[in-house]
Amino acid sequence: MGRLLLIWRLIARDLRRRPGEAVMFLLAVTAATASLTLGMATDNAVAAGYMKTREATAGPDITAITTATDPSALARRIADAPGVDTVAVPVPGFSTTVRAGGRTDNAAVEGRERTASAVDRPLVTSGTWVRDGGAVVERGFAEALGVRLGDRVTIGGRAYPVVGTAVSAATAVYPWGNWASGPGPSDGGGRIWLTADDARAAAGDASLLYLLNIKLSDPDAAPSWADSALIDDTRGQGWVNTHPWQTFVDGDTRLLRSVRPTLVVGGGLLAAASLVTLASLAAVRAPRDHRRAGLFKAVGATPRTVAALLLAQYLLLTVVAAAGGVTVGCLIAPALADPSAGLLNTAGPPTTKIVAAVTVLALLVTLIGTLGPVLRTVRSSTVDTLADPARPTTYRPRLTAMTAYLPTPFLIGVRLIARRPGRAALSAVGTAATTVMVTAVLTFQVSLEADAAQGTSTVEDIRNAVTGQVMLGVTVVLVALSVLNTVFVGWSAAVQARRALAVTRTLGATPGQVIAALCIAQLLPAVGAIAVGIPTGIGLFALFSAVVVTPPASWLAAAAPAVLLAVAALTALPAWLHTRSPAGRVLNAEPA
Amino acid sequence: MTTRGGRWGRGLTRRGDLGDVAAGPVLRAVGLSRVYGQGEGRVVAVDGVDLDIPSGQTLAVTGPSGCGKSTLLHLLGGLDRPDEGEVWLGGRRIDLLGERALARLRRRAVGFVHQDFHLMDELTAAENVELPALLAGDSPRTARRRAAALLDRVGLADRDRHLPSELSGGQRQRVAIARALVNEPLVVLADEPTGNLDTAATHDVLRLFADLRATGQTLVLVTHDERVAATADRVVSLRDGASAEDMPLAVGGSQLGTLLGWEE
Repeated sequence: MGRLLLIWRLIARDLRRRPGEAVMFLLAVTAATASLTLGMATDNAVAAGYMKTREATAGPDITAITTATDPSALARRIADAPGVDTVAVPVPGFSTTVRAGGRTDNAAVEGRERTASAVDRPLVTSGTWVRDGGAVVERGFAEALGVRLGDRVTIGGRAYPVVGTAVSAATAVYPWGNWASGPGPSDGGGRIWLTADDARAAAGDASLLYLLNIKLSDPDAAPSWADSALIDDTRGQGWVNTHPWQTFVDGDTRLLRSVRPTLVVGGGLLAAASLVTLASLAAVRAPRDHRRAGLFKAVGATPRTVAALLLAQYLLLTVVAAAGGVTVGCLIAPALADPSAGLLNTAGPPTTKIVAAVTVLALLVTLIGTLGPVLRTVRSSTVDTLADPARPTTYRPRLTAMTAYLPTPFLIGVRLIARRPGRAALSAVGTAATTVMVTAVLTFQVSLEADAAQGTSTVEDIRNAVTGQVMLGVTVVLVALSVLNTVFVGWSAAVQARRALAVTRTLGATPGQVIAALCIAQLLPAVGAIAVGIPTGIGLFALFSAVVVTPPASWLAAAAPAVLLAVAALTALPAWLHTRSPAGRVLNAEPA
Repeated sequence: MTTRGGRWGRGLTRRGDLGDVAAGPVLRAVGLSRVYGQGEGRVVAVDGVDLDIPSGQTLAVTGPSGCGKSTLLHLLGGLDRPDEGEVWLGGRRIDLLGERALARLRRRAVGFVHQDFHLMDELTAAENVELPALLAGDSPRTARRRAAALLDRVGLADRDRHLPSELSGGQRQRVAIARALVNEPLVVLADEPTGNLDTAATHDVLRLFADLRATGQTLVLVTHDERVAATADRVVSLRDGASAEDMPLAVGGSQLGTLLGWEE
């Protein structure tokens, strides 16, 4: 107990003394875990949103659409079929083009009674339910048209004021809401409710279809019910098409087809970037932790206690960050899951699968990033821990001889890489992750142009818009993390090599040469990272995309130097700050 | 060995930028002051020090710990800037130079020897010695040749491929001295060069300094060891950052001989 109290006290003190490091740790791991959570939670959120809407609107278990001029006979036969609980009064509707605010789109216009139906009672989210001369627009469709209460929608040449918006679970969300297009392919569209009289009047010469909302005794059996119960005798002579409620969830989820891999792959790339953050943090902390460990060992702490102390702090932050990531992911997922606002959103608790995946990811990132320095510290003898630098450098005779022929900034820069090759690898991983995402975004832009050339449907437009927003979001977070990493790695490189660089300056290297050397130490790994990142980005995009495209060479030729320039500029900043102090002061401050 | 040879860095000529050394002191400090901190934490590390160090002189700067010896050495070598006063090296005022110009000046005109050696851990003895030459733009072959000659001179020819961790303290300091000399500087500034050494290693280093002195190398030694100070031509004592005593030692050479056991 005493040992635990001691560990907790030391962790708390360290967090209080260096809150910046803790914040960096939390930001990095939270970003990665939130992205992964989002990627895994969107499907669940779609289902949860649909189920909540279904419950609130007495949504049907299955719908039947018929072209019969009088659907009452069909309704009676279905009501008598096995497994049927309730059949609501058939709803007349027709497919038409509506105009609102300069936009036109397809829609199913339904004729509804003012009284509530037995099945499918659209939930009014603003305004009122249908009244004579007024239209209620499905909420997702209203957003797509850009109409609000009081605006007018034109149906069949007649303008109707929008008196309300509502959500319903009797169809999939916009643009899958146009159930009344009849036999043959559908262009999709939204849903508008009028009074039955208004609907018939608006239909004019258009033939009406009827929507039958059906409740079954076993809702889960809806997909098989049509095959087993809706036999020819029941169907009659007219055209009848059925849609079990599960297909609505599928339709809603299909809008997010490209979003999920973007988030999951983005989560992986963010995990790589956060690994860079954590490893850099661990490297910067290593000399301090090393000395602290030495002091603990000197007063009797066992290596196990020291390891527990060092790892406990990282693991505590990991748990907090993972919990934060899961929470953020689950809170954002509903908004992302319903791009057309056609469902009642709900933030559900994370599933066990999500919690397990996020925990594994966070622990992996933390352990890979921090275990090395911790183990080195634990294994060192007490005397060495107190006296020596955290990590002795390795002698590389060939490299040293080769660099003698290079200009001074390259000589110092390459030797800096040789002193800490692990840091160069980390830097490369971070740059590669960013390059992969930037390349994927460029490839996505090219695919959009390819799609546009072929002509896109409303569904594809929505899907592309959502995917684009998600890609942009992941890219912004990844670039932000990479900017932080590049500055931090550059700064940690300057800090770790402070003595060597001060000696080099004492021997005659100018501040400019030292700054250039630190930049080169970051740029050389970045060149390799870009060379790997670009094809990986194109490959990953192709893996999850129906369209195989590559960005123009000119785009890539511009992106690569842009990334390099950014790396150089971001490294130059901490390097410049580092060289502002006179070399003598650094030497005075540094132990042997 | 020529320790004051005529090789100078790019854009830096002995006669052009540094003037005629023979005409005046190699190193000169006028009213030199350096203050750290502010308010109650203000510490005057160097307080109005005046110094003229002629060519070929070995000057020892002594005083208790914290009296400003190392700070004075850093100011003289252009590693730090004074808050007040002037520093002249080879007839050129250097305290107004920028970091870049100072770095270029240090390459050729100043050799540093530190108490903690400050060798690159990942470089061999030879590679450490040749590093300043490479920084100054010498070819690797030239740098290696000069490093080999200097290591031979300091008695470490057979240790040229050893890493600092494989050398004793005295050997490390001899490598550091060889490194300080590789660009044939105007002045060698040594900060407690024997502070971390045992008696035998101290004797080795002092023998090297005696050799340098014999060749006319200007040498400034910071030390708190009076026996080491006694080997100099002149001793300046610092107290609280100010010069308390400036004493020429006519018998510096014989003191060294006594110290090293050459004379009974």
